Amino acid sequence: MSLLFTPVIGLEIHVQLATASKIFCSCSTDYIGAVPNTNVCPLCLGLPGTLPVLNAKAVEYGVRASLALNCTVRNATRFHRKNYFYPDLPKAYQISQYDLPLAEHGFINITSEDGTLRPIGITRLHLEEDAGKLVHGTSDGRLTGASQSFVDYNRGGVPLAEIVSEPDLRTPAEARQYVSVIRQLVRYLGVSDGDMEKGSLRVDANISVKCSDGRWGERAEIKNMNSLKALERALEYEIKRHIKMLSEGKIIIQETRHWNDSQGITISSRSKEEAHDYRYFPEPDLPPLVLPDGYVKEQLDKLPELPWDRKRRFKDTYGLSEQDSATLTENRDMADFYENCLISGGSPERTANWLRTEVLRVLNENKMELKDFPISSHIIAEMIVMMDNRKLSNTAAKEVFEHMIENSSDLHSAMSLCDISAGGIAGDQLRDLVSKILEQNNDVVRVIRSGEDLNGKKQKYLKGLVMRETRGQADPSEVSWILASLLENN
Amino acid sequence: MAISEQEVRKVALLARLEVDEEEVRSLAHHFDSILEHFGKLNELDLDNIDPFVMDETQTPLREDRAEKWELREDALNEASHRDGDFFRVPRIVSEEG
Repeated sequence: MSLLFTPVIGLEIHVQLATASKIFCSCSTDYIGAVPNTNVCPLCLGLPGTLPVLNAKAVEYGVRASLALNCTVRNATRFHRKNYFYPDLPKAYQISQYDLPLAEHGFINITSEDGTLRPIGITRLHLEEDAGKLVHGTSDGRLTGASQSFVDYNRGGVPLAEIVSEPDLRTPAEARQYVSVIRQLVRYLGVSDGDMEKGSLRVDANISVKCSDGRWGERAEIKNMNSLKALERALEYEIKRHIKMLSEGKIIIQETRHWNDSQGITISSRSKEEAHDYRYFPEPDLPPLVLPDGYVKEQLDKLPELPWDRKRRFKDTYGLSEQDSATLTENRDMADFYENCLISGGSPERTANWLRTEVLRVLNENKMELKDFPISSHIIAEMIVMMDNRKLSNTAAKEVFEHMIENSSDLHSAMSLCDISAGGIAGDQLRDLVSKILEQNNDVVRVIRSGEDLNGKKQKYLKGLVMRETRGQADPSEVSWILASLLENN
Repeated sequence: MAISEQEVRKVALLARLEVDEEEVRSLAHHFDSILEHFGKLNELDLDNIDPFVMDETQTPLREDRAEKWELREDALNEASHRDGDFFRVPRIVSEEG
């Protein structure tokens, strides 16, 4: 009988909260690209005689995330000291939460491979401070021959929410999906930018493998996965490693391992002191955090429509496909932009089409955020309305759109510069144009009239010439109709 | 409850303190007497007494506004080792990542 193996995965996600100042002092949290040790003060440098004062916004963001994760928020909570010596932690302890976290017992749905929703338990969400950054090597970036490390405390004290999942995840793909749902959620809530590459969202994984013969291997903690792809690859690697060990009857030891992305393997981080003893004790410098009556309710009322609710509404209300609803609600700015277009009169389907193809294409090509997009939702809607009323063809609209992107011009000057008129080309104007094309292509006309254009190819060719001449400003069915009638009448 | 010498060595290691053999023995003795002293508290019957909580004490909150501290140069200069914009420390083999 062959053995069956079931991976058991739980994730710890650290999310940097998007506050302006640090969690316990007024230093700026804007550390990316900043000169080292410029966003520091006596408190976040761990100097004696300082006292932490909790940032109200960090509490608000933590509560907001907790509620969106269906957690129960504690009205009274407290902070603990987590003690360890490491130079990125100037106090030699991290202020974190231990026995009374901000929130517990939540869940979030992911979509299983068969399309059904599967709840993943959230054990807890607690607040803590981030550590500083160590640079190994010389301060000018040379890595060789250095016997020193360099410390930058700009990141030290940036507020973090640590979100711990239950060991409910079974596959690397599920783990990836869980993280992308959390990332989308924190972005929707505006509590974090959730950028894994920049390190504002960091994932550690706990993984063990259960064997059908009753054995259950020890868990490994995997760190240093800086993208969703890396997370998935690291878990795949680790599952294979565990299964191999169990198959060979080897013992798996509990340890921390680092993912090496370029080599595609995890490496045991052998440390002299693997068994950490953090000696947690209540932080004497901070009295309990007590949320005022009604605070949690107030935050609950302030929650925006969550991405999955919005996606369902887009499907139900606007009749969009699953794929379009997902794409347009992927981030909140895009969903808002879409709905603003509709408010300005755009039809749901054509607007969805345009945003998904044209607008997203331009954003991707220019690696641009929607907030920096040069065309307003109102203008896009105005174009859509013209297209809806057959006053502007898709081709002509694209030309005008490109012109607006390149020259940041407004719609009407773009149209006049592209020599495209809002009414399009129709009626007598179109009839004259078709006549002119027929005159210029006498030989083709003769072939058609003599009945030799059996598969209609020549007629299509003429229609193509007309469409090109009008630069897409004519209604194709009207062109066909005029063409047919002129070809019949000698 | 006697504290073993091994426990003393572990506490010293966690606190990054260097202790010699004689200090280990002497500290084990000190720890014992401190624990014994506080152990007396366990003899009290506190079953019907609520935990002592300072009245209405709760942590004050600060408005989220960033401010610049102007004396960072002093902090860097006062450090044992400064290297440009950095604090310099002995090379650490990465453990926490």
